[in-house]
Amino acid sequence: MSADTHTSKLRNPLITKFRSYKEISDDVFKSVEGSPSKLWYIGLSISICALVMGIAAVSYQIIYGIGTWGLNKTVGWAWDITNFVFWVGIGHAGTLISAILLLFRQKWRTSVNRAAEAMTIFAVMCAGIFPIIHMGRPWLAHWVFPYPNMRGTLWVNFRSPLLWDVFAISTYFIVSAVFWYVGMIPDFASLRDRAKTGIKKSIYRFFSFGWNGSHRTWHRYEMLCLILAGLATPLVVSVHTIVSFDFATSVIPGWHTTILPPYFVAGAVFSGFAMVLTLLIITRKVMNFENYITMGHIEAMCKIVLLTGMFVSLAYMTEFFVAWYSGNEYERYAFINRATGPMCWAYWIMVTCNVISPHFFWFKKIRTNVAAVFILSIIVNIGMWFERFVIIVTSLHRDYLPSSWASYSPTKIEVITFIGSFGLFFTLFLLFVRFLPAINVAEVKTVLKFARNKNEKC
Amino acid sequence: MKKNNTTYWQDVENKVLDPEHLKSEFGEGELQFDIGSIKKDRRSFLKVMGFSFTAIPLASCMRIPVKKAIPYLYKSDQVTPGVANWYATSMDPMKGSSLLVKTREGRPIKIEGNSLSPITKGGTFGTDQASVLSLYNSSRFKGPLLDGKPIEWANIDKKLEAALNNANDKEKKIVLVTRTISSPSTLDIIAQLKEKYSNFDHVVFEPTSQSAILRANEECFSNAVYPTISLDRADLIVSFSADFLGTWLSPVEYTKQYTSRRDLTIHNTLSKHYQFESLMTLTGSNADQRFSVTPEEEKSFIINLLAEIQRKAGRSLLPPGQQLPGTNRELVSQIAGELWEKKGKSVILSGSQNKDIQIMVNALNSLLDNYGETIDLYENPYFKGPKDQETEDLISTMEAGEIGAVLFWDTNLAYHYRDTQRFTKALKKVVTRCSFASADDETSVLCNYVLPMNHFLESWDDYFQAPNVLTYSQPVIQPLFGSRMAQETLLKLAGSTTKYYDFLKKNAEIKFFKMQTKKMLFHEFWNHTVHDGLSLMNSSLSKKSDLAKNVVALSYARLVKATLNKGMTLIGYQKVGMRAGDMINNPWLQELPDPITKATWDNYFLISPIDAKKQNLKTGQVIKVATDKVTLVLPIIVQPGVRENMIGVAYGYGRSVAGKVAKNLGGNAFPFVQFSNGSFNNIATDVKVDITPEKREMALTQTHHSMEGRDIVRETTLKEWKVDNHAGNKPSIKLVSMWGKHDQSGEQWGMAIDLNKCTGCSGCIISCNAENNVPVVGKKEVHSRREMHWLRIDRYYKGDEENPEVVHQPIMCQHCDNAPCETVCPVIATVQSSDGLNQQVYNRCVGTRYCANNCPYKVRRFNWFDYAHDDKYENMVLNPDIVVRSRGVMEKCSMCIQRIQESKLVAKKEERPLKDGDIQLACQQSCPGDAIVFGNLNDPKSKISTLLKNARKYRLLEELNIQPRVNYLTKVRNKG
Repeated sequence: MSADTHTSKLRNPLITKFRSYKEISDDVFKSVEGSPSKLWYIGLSISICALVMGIAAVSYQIIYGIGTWGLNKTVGWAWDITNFVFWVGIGHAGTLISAILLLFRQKWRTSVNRAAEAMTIFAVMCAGIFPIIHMGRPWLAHWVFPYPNMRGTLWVNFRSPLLWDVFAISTYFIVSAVFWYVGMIPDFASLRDRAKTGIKKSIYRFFSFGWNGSHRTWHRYEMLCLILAGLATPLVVSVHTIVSFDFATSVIPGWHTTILPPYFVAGAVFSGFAMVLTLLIITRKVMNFENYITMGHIEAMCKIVLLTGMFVSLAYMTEFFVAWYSGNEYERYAFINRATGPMCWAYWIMVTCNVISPHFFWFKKIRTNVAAVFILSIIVNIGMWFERFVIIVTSLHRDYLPSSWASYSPTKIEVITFIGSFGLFFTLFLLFVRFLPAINVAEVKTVLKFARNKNEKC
Repeated sequence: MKKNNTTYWQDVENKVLDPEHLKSEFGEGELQFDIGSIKKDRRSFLKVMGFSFTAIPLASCMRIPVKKAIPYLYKSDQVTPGVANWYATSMDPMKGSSLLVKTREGRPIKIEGNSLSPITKGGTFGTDQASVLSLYNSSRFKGPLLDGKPIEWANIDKKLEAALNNANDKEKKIVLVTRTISSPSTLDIIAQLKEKYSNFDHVVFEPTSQSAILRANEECFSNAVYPTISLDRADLIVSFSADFLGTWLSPVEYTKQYTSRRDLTIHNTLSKHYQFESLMTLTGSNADQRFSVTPEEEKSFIINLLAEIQRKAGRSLLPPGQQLPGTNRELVSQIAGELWEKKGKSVILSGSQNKDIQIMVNALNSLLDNYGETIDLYENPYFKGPKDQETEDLISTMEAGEIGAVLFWDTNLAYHYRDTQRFTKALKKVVTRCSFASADDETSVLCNYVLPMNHFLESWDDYFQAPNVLTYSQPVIQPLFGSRMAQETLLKLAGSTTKYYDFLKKNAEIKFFKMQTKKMLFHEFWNHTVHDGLSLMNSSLSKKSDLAKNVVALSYARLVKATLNKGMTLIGYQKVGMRAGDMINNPWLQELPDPITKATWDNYFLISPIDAKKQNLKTGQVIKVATDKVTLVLPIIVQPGVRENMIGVAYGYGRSVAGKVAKNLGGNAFPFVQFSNGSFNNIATDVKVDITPEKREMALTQTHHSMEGRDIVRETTLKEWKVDNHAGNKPSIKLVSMWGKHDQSGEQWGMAIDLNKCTGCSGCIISCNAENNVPVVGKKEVHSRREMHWLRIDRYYKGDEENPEVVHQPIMCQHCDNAPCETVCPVIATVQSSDGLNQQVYNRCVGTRYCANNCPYKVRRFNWFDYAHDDKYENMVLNPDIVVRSRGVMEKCSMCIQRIQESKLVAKKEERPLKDGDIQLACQQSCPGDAIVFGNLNDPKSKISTLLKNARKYRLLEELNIQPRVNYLTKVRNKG
C-alpha cells in the first residue's frame, strides 16, 4: 500500500482526532483486554434468550415435522428459504468491503472491514441453518454432499441448483473465514505482545502464527490478503448468482427470469451494506469507536446503499416490463398478482422500503444524522426480507393451475425460528466484539495522516 | 373373562399396551394398590414385598391365551404369501355394486368393480371403494350387549327369543325395521317370522327415501318397483332434480350408461342432457344445458311440458287449457319439440319426493313411448322398498304402547327420523328394543339388546341386483369383532336351526337353479355363481307399463291446488361420498372432496351467489336456519348455480353417537325432513334465516374456481366438433429442447383422460387412496391445504355465476419426460424410469420440497407429519405392496407401479408379451365412466395409441416443453 502516499488537503481524514499508534491499540484492544460494559451483558442476554427460543422452535419442528410450519401443498417454501436468502444477502457486504474495496484501494474500508467480515461469517452461518432445517429429514442432510458412499452408484444431482448452493455457500464461507482470520493475525500478534498472563499469551501466540513483525512477514501478509481478495471477489458475485438460480432455473412464473442473478447480487449488496450500517452504528456507540468509524464511513456506506437501492428499483421495473413484454400470460399474472393480489401488502412494503426509502440518502443532512441512518438501514433490511418473501411466496401461491392456488401464513414456530437466527447472529457478533479486536488495528494505523505523509509531524 | 381373541401385541413396534389386555391377562381383575396409603415403615414394606413375591408367581401361573395361528410353513393350498386372492362379492344393491375383493394373506385390502356385472360393468363409486375401510373400523361393536353390558351370543339369543315370545303372548306387536331389502333369502326369513309371530310387522325405512317413485309406479302401473333405466338407449335425457350421476337410485349403473353415450372416439354424436334443479348437483354439472329453477318452477315446467306433449300426442290426460305460470314457454315448447322428435329414445327423470310429480313424469314417459325402450318396469317379487307411511304409523303405534318388541336392523331411526325427540319418547314405551348395528349409534344406545352385525365382507347374502341378475355376497374374512350376520339371529328367532349360509344355498337350489339353463348341476351352478359373484337368470321377466289414466288427472288437481311459496326454501341433499351417512365413520370418505363444493369433513348450507351478495355473506359465515320446530347452525358455502332463495344442506352429518371420525362433525339435517302426501320430503319451505357473527374455517381442497381464462380445460360444442374435429383444441406446438430425449424404446407408458366421459364422481380418488396407502390427514390439515391425495379432480366454473357451466378435470402426476421436478432434486430422489414414468424414491428423499415447488401441476404431496398409523385395525387395510411413507418425504402418483410390475411378472411367467389392457391402474379400473385409458405408447395397436391420434387430444401446459405423459381429450358439450 505504498503507492498512495499523498493525501488531499480537501479530503477529510479517515480517522478523526489525532491518535498515536498506542492510543489506537489501547482504544481497540480495550474491550478485549478489559471487562465488558453492562450494555454488552444486556445485549448478550437478550441475544442468548432469542437463540435459546430459536433452538427450542427448531427442536420442536424437527421432533414433530415441517407441518409445524405454515407451508402447504402449493407453497413449499416460505420463511425458511426467505430467511436463507436474506442472511446470505446480508453476508455480501463483508466480503465486498474486504475484498473489492481492497482491490480498489478504498482506504476507508480499514476501520470497518473486520466487523463487516465478521458479520458476513455470522450471517452465512445463520443462512446455512435454514437449508438444513427446511429439509423434511434433516438428519440426512449429509446426502447433499458428493462423498464416496456405500450406496452403490448413488450420487448427488449436479443439475440441481440446490446442490450448487451447497458448493457456493460452503466455498464462500471458507474463503471468507480464512480471509477474516488472516487479517487478524497482526492484531493477534499485538495482543500477544501486550498480554501479561501466561495463558492469554499462549493463546494469542498460537493464533498469531509466529508473527514477528518483520518486513518479510508483512510482505507475505499483504500478498496473501491480495490473493484472497482476488479469490473472494468473484465469490461476491457468484454466491448470490447461484442462490438466484434456485429460482431462475425453475419453471414457476415469477421465478423463471434471467434478470434474477444481477438483481439478487445488487439486492444482496444493498441489504448487506444496510446491515453493516446497523451494526456499526451500534458498535461505534457502544465501543466508543466514533473516531474510527466516522461520519465519513457512514456517509460512504449510505451512498452505496443509495446506489444499489436504485439498482434494485431498476430490477423491479425491468421485471414488470419484461413480464408485460413477454406476452406470457402466466408471467403477466404473476406480476399483476404481486402488486394487486391477496399478498400485495408484502409487495408494497417491499417497494416502500427498497425503492422509496433509500432516496432519503440523497440528503447530506440525513446521511450525517446517525439516528436517521440507523432507522433507514433497518427499513432497508425489512424491505429486503420482504423482497425475498414476495419472490418466493407470491410466485408460488398462485402458479399455473388456479385449482391449486392457496394462501400462506406463518406459524409461531417459523417466526420464533427467524428470531432465533437473529439471536444466533447477535450472540456471535457480541462475542466477537468482546473477544476479538473489532477494528483492524494494523491496517487502521496505515491510514493515519502521519503514517501516510512523512512531511507531517508526529 | 371377556372374550378377546385378536388383540395381543407381539413385537416392540406394536407394544401399545392396551389396559384392556392387561386386565384380561390378569384375569382376576386389576391389583388395586394405592402406594400412598401404605405406611412407610419396615413392617409394611415387608408385608407388601411378601405379598408381591407370592402374588407375582401366582399371577404368572395364569394360562396364557391360546392364539389360533398356523405358520405359512404349513402351506395352505389357497394362500400364497405375497400373492393376492380375489373374490367376487356384492354390496346391497341400494348401497353399492357388484365387486371383486382383493385379499392379501387373508385380509381384504382393495375393492374393485366386477366387470361381469351387466349392471355396473366393473364400475364402482367412492362409497364402494371405501367400504373395505369400514370393515376395519375399530369403533365397531366387539360383541353383543345386553343393557349395555357384554354378554355371550348364546345367552342373548335365549333372552331375546324369550322377550319376543313374551311380547307375542301378550298380543303385542313385534316390528322389524329394515332398509330396502333386495335379498330373496332375507325376505323368506321375514316371511317365516311372520308365520311364527302372529303380530309381526316388517317396516322398511330409508333415510333418504325415494319412495315417491315406488308409490307413483304402484298407482300408475300397479307395480311398486324402481324403474330399470337405460340411459345408453336414450338420445335425450331430461332430468328434474334427479342426481342420477351422483346419488339417485343406481348412480354407478347410470354413469356407465351415460358416459357410453358421451364417447366421441366411438360415436360421432352425443346424447343430449337437460337438467333442471335448484341446487348444483354432480349431474347438473355434467348437463349439456342446466336450468336453475325452484321446486315450484320445476313443478310448473313438468305440468306445462306434459300439456304440450299431450297436445302433440293427441291425448287428454290433463284438462286442456291454461298454462301454469313461472315457466319460459319457449323453452317448454322447444324441449317438448325435441322430446317429441326423440319419441321412444328419450327419458325423463325426477328426483322429487312428491308422488304427484312422479306420476306426471310417468305420464310424460308414457306419452313419449319410453316404456319398453329406455325405461322398463319389471315385476320383482324379491324386493321390498320403503313406504314412508309405515314409519309414521310405527311411531304412532309405539306411542300408543301397542308394540312389545322392535328390532332395528341397520336402521338408526333416532338419528334418521325427522323427529328424534318423538321417536325417543315413543321408543321408551317399547319393552324389548333390539338393534342390529355395526357400531354405536343413536338408536343402539337406546336399545337394551344390541346385536353386532357383520360387515358385508364378513357375510353371506343373496341379492337381486336387477330383476334378472342374482348376485351373491360372500365372506372374505372371519368376523373381526365377534359380530354375527343379522340373518342368523332372525333365523334362530324364526325357530330354525339352519345356518344362514345353508339357508340361502338351499334357496338357490330350490328357486334360482331352475331360473337358468347354463349349468346342469346345482353344485356347478352354485360354485360358478359364487365364483363370478353373480348369475344371469333367463326366466322371462314380466313388465307392467300400462298407465292408469285417471291417476294423472287426480295428481294434476292436487298439484295445481298446492300453494306457492315465496320464502327461503331448505333442500336436503346427499353428498356423493356420504349419501345418507351410512359410512360416516369412514375417514377416506370424510376426506373425499365433494365433487362440486370441494369441501371435506363437514356439511354446510349452500347459498346462491345472489343471496350471498344481498346479505353480504362469504363462505365460512355461520348462519342459523330454522323452521318453527327445528334450528340448525352451520357455516355456508356460496355455491354458484344454486337458485335464489334456495338453501342446500347435506344429510348424514351431526351425529351425536358415532365413532371418533364422525362425532360432532357438521349438523343433522334430517329434522328438516317433511312428511307430506305420504312421503318423506327433502324440501322444507319458508325457513327463517339468521346470520350469526361467527365464522368457521371450511376444509376446502380448492378455493379458486375460475380458470382465469387459461388454457386448462379445452372445450367445444358438438356442432363445432362436427364441422372440425379439432374445434376447441389447439395444434400442439413444436418445441426445442436443450436436452437429448430419453431412450424411448421398449414399453413407454402413457395415459389419456377423456374429459367428456369424466363426470367428476371422485371414485378414482378413493380407489387411489386404497391402492397406494395414501394417508388421511384430517379436517384441520385439509384446511391448511395439506391433503395427501395423489389424484385430484379440479372443478372450474365458467360463465354466469347464477347458472355456471362446470368442468371436471382429473389431475395426477403427469409423468413428464422433461420433468421439472427431476432436475431440481439435489439428491436424485425423483428420476425417469426406462419406461417413461417419473418415479419417486422415498428412501432417498431428504424433503427439500423443491420438486413440489417446481411442479407446474402441483401434484406432489409432502408428508408434513408422521401421519397416524396407530390404529391396528385400520392398518390391516394397508396394501403390503406399497411402503407407508415416513414423515418428511415427498410422494405422488406412481401410475400404480406395483400393478405394472405385477402384470409384467404374470406375463413373464406365462412366457408371453404384455397385452394391451393387462395393466389396469387403480383409478382406471374403478372409473364408472371409463374416462381413463392407460397403455403402451410404443404399441401402435394399443387403445392409448389410437386415442393419441384423436383430434381432441391435448396435453396440459404443453408450452412448458415438459412433455407430460398424461393426455386429455377435449370436452364437447351438446348444445348450441
